[in-house]
Amino acid sequence: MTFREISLQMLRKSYKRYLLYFYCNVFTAAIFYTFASIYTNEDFMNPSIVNPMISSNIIAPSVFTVIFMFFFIPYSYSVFFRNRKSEYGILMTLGMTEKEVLTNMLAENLLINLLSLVAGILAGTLISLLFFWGIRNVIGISGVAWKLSLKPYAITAGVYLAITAVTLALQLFGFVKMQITDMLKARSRGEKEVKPSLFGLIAGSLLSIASVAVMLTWFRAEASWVLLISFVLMMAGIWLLLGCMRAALTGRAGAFDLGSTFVRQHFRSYRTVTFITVSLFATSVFLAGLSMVTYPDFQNNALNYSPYDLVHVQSDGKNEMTLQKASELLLKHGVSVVSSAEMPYMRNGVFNLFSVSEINRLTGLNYAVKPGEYLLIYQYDLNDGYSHEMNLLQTTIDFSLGTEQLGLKYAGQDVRILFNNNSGFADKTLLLADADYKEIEKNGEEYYSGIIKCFIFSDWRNSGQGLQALQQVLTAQNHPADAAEEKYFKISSKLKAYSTAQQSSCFLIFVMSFVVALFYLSANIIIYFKIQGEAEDEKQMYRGIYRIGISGEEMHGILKHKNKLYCLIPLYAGSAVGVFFSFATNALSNSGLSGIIFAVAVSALLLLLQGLVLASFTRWEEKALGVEKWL
Amino acid sequence: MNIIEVRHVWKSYQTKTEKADVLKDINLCVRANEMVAIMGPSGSGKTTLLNLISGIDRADKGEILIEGNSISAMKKSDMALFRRKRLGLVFQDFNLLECFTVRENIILPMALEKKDRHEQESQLNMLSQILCIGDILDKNIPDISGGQKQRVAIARAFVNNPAVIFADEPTGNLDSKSTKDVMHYLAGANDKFGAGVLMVTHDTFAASYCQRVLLLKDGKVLSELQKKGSRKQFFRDILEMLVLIGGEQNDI
Repeated sequence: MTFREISLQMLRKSYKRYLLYFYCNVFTAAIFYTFASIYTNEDFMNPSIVNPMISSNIIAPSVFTVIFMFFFIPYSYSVFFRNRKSEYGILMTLGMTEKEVLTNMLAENLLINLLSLVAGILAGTLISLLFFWGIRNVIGISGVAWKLSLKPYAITAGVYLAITAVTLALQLFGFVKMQITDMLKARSRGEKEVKPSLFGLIAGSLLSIASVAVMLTWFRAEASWVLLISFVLMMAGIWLLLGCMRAALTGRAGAFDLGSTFVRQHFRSYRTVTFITVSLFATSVFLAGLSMVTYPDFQNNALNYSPYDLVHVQSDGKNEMTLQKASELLLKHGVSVVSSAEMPYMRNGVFNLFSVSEINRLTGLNYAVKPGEYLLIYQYDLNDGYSHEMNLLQTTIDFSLGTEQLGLKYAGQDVRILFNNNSGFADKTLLLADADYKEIEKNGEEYYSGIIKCFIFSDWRNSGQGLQALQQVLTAQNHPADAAEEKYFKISSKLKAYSTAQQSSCFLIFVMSFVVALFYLSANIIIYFKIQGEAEDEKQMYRGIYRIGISGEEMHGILKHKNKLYCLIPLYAGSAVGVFFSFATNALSNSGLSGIIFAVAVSALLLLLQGLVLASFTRWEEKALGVEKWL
Repeated sequence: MNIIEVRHVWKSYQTKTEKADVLKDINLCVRANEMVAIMGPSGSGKTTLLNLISGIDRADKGEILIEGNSISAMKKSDMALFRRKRLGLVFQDFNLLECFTVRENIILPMALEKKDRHEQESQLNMLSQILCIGDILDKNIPDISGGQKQRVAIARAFVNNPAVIFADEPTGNLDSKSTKDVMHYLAGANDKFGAGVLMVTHDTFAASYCQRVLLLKDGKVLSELQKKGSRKQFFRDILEMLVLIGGEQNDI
């Protein structure tokens, strides 16, 4: 037998231990590749093919996936390395040098990681193909296809190898500092005690209460950072409260609770694992609730931001068609126009300018703007769930009129959606006195004029054919020079906005389901690692208990109780946190109680699944410990 | 000739609140071919001493010489090579690698030493005959008994013809029949190969196979007993010494 044969033999004989580590790495690389392939897909990220409202939904899940990868690979490696320490300790007592051990560890990790990467990328390619099939056929986003590109492969390989290299380097550094005696006892050594303290209980409770208070008080004003701070406070509180849980596991007076005793023996690592899994379950419940709420929210927003059933812009000789002719064309395709109107406007890269009397005429409103002033209109729905900056312009704006300047003073602002979103409009809207509007129209150098045409249908939900026919006719007569020009003069409709919102929310649910499944699965993999490691370490102890007279049925109860503490406590705590944040973010964003309803529903579903997980983990542990033979 | 010389060795461990001296100015020597047992109550520093002499741990002060080589001054890598070539270790919980068969576990130190296959086989055959494990060579570790596991561990310790064998409670996990077998084979191998044996044990019966017993208490060598006469007589002498120093059998 040679040194090489020893290494290969260890790899071959301990394949079950390596397999779990391998699966974790494959799983992580596959999920990462899937998101990288979507993120780098040119069709998907092309705003002319996929509405940015849909494609932007990939950003948050991608961030979650990267964060997940950054902590999951090091975690699975640390578990794997802990299992190998005692083996390397024995080899070192036999005279294996530190250099030989390091070489061996490097070689086996290089092999496993390269194999994991290749398998992960292959599995990721398959998942990604399924993903794109889903996007096209389930979500209905046509025009997007999976494309073979080196970029996502390179990104996945680069990030994966970088994380594993850093993790490996840190583990090897820790290994060099270890004594052989510590390595030999690595698996059997008891964990340092975590003492429950009154300070922990009080500080943990206060932090949790502070988290709730911060969220409820300030979230409405400063959504994003308040959510983050509140979540950090909550998790810090949970960490301290978990430290006090050891007191609860000490057992009731007169009752010797073996399941709790086993957990108490490994309480330090139990606390860490429970903290990580609470975070994963909480994020799963929160994200699931959030993505479900977006479904009705996106649709409502689409309707609120589309006061007309059809809007298009006529300028520069494009989209020239009278209201009468357009109505006739629409009717020919089954779309009955109830009312239509048009009005002139001007725009540059920043502002839309309207004459106040024209706006009043079209909308029936009663705005008043004096000459020399302007009224700023923010076309927002303040209840759309997003934060809006509305203190941008409160100064005099100068308009260039040849050699002269026309300075208009800020006269106030209003929030109202006047027209549907359309590429022909600039970002901000100003209402001017008629005289000023005419002056700029006549002598202004930076603004060009156009006509807005608006239509209301009797039934916008069945306007698809008519809208398509109108678009075809307009595009044919426009002869657009390029895609940008074609997009600029594209009609915008309530139907299109609504279906885009529908696709966007479906896509978000689809992608978030992936992330939630990923988090849920990885939380349970971590729990499995923990139960498996303890079962291997404590085999002798369990056998000793059997010898002193505990029956198989009693042992089943003990293991089940112990595993409940691993599987259910984190889910209960995670669900409570997830439901609270789902309630708070949605209720405070005026989305009603839908957040809490969806989060509770998701928690209930996860709890059902977790019951199955608990049963299968306990069955596995009984098999590993040979409890079945005691029955 | 002394194969092991321990001179004024000190070792302490730092706890959260205080520094505990585990070994205090230990001096001892072991001659070639000699079997020496170290006995003492739990916490007396027996295993710590064995770990220091075998180079698994480092002493704070003092010097440890094996075959005239000071292991206290050796670098980690030199110590590993020295352990591979000149030392053999036997543990209470066997420390066999479950991913290997009995044969592979015994061959392992020779494989690390890059000995050729012919030499590996002949050494394996000889040791398996002496230790009566020829019929289990192809078995997996979980499939053999505790006594067999310890004999495999002894074979592995002797496989590179070491100068000294360190045994930490080699019979601690065994029943009386297996204890007798293991000690019989350990003494036989010691006799055959001429290696010194330094053994830590609680077991008076196992200690009676040695030529000398050192009693360690509170980190110091309290007493020493030389074998005179038969093994049975030595067994009685050890018990007597334990009674005289005021300890009880359960204390040791």
